[in-house]
Amino acid sequence: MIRLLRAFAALRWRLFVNGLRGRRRDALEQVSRISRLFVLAVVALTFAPTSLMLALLAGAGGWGMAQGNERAAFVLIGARAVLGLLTVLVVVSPILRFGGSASSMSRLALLPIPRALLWALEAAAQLADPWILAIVPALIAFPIGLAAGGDPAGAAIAAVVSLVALAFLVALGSLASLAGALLFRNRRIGEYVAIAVLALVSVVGYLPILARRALPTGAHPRESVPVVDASRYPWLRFAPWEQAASAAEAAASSRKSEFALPLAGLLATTAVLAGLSRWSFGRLLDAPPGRGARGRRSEARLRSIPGLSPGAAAIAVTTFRLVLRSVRGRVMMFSAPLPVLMIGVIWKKLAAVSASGAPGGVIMLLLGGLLALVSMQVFLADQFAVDRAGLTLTFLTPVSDRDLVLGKAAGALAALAIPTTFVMVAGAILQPAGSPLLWLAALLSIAAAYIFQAPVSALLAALLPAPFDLMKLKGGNGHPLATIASTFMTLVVFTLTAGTGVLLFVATRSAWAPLAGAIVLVALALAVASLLFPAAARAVSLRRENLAMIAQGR
Amino acid sequence: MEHALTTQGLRRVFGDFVAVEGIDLTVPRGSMYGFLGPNGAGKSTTIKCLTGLLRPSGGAMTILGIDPSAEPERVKRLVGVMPEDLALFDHLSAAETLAFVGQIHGMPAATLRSRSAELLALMDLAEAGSQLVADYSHGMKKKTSLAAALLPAPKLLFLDEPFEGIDAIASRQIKDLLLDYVRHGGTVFLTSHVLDVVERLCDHIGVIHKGRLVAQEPLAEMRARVAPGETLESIFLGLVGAGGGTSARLDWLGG
Repeated sequence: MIRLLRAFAALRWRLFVNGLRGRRRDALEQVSRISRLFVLAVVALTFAPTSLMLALLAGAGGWGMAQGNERAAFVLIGARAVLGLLTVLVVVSPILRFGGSASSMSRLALLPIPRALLWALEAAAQLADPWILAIVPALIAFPIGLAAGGDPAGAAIAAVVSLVALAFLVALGSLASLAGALLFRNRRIGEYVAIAVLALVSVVGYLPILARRALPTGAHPRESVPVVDASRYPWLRFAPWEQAASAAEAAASSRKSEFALPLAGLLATTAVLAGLSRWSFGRLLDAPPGRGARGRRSEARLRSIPGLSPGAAAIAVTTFRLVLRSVRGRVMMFSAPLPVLMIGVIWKKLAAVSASGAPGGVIMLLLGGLLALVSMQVFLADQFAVDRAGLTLTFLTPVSDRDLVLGKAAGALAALAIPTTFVMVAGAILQPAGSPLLWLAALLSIAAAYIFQAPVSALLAALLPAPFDLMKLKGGNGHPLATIASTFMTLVVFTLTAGTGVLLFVATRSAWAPLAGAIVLVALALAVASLLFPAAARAVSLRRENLAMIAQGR
Repeated sequence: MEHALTTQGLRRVFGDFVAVEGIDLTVPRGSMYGFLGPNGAGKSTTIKCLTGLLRPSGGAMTILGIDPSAEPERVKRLVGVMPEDLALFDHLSAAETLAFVGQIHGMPAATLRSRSAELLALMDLAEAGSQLVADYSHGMKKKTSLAAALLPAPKLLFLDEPFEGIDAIASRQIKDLLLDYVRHGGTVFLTSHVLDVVERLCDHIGVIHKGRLVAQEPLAEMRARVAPGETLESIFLGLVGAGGGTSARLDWLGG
């Protein structure tokens, strides 16, 4: 057993170290790699203060409760909130990275290791989940605080409660991960489920305000703090976070014997989850992966695009298809319209915007355009490497670098048109006020912003590529520096183009002025882009070799 | 004889590692050229240099009489490539992959439609319908990649391990197709570890070992010079110095 644990620990460590090392073919690639690691390290480091703060609060709370300080018990209200939030996160995060573990597990299943042990190792890997890792110090600190405060018996019980709470999170995370992988063995089903979950997550925050009644004209909403009366929701007693907190509360109080029932409940929940996780693991190893549906017979057709050469048109169509057919691309498509649609519905419900006389639909269009542009940055800033092996096929064909860059920009523009059109239609239905010229000016402002930033994104994507598979939610991400720089560029140019239109409208109260301004900005953007696209094409030409290799994860 | 491909002192290094060291290839037009070598010998690196995926660190080459470093797009219009990693878009179907290649080659719509239909039928890919490459088996991916290489009717075909990982029926179809292609004047440059297939198909052989070309001549002449009456496998093992039985015997196996 120890031998196997050592072997697996060494394997995980080696995979981690090799992942950090990567390959370094030339100086620019090395700079690109180090900057990626730097940004990841900064993100990882932000977890440390949070984890430390939670541990300090838990330790101080435990010490205070042992000392008989009633106010110290507030720490358990925080514990309920944190455990409740983690319960949701450990379920959602494996869905966001589905399709990850199954193949490596199949390889490990060939080794002479009992399946139960293999499952236990897979489940234990959940401890590396940063969300779970972040609360481990707090789970340790609470019993230590109790012991330091002079309640060793309570500390011992609290330590057991901490251990079971941790086991619950691990079992839940493992079940979500394995059941998700089992469900997502059919790529298409996986995509639709993941997108549905993401859509649900993105709109759930708007539900409380949607449920509110509309206010009479001129009335102002009353400020109030929502209070949840737990006695009105008896099912809460069975929630795992409530059971863990109740058991810890009893351990720290004089009613120590009352810890047993909630702890037994938590233990039973954990056992059931672990059993289901174990079953899912067995099914995952035994069931063959599913294939996508065959669908109707397809035939090779040419799609010409006016103004583009056949080569650039082929690249544009392929890029457009990548966005529409990949799970991450579809997420990009709806991540902008959904919040804007929610905002539009809320505005209509509250009748606040229409009462002010502002063109709410045009504002929705601008907001939707900005969100669509921002959400597409992850793709635009890595637009070549996202083709993966397809980029090699492109490089083997007689397409020029100029056509490649222009085709990519045209394909992304077509993809951008989908969420923009959606928010425009939603805006026209929900908030139809405003001159058609104003709507046109808003559309041109969004187009100008895109044309300004498209060659810059292409340049960044050529210089700072990262292996990124849009077909999987766990397919990585674009280079963080390229994504940040490209997003910053978007915000700057959008502020310029949309801001100019807004200023002209406010100054003149005429729809003609922002329209004229937008036309001038589109012309200016085209002029700038005609200078920058050749530079981007040159960068692609110089980096072809590295791009093709990085695109395939080499 | 006119040559489809020549290299002089072709060299490629990765940092300190020399993958290909000054090789001089001569591939006659209308020949089936088998480029052989052990794993890691430099076969795929050579093909990548010849097809423009890697920049050579040194040397010169001509493909169909054209310098690819001077006119890369012109060369790419004349050659078809099935690379080692197959190079396909995961999110396209086989038909869409062919449409992509055909459109970049500027093929007329009618030609594209008829050639694609023929190729998809030949490769048993027509029934895959709108299924995406991401959901294909390895064999289907290989056939899609080969179809994409053949679509523009190239004068020279580079095939990196075309027979590995496909079933016997597809293998037979591909062999017949390649022989027919050469009979009609095309040139094939292929790598393979299936030496008996190479022996039956290829009329010219080049052997690379540790980045250096150790032999290159018509198969018949090579056999007569190196090991008369022997199989290509014996000749190959003799050339790369692995035929003397010097490897460990692994006596502990089977006990």
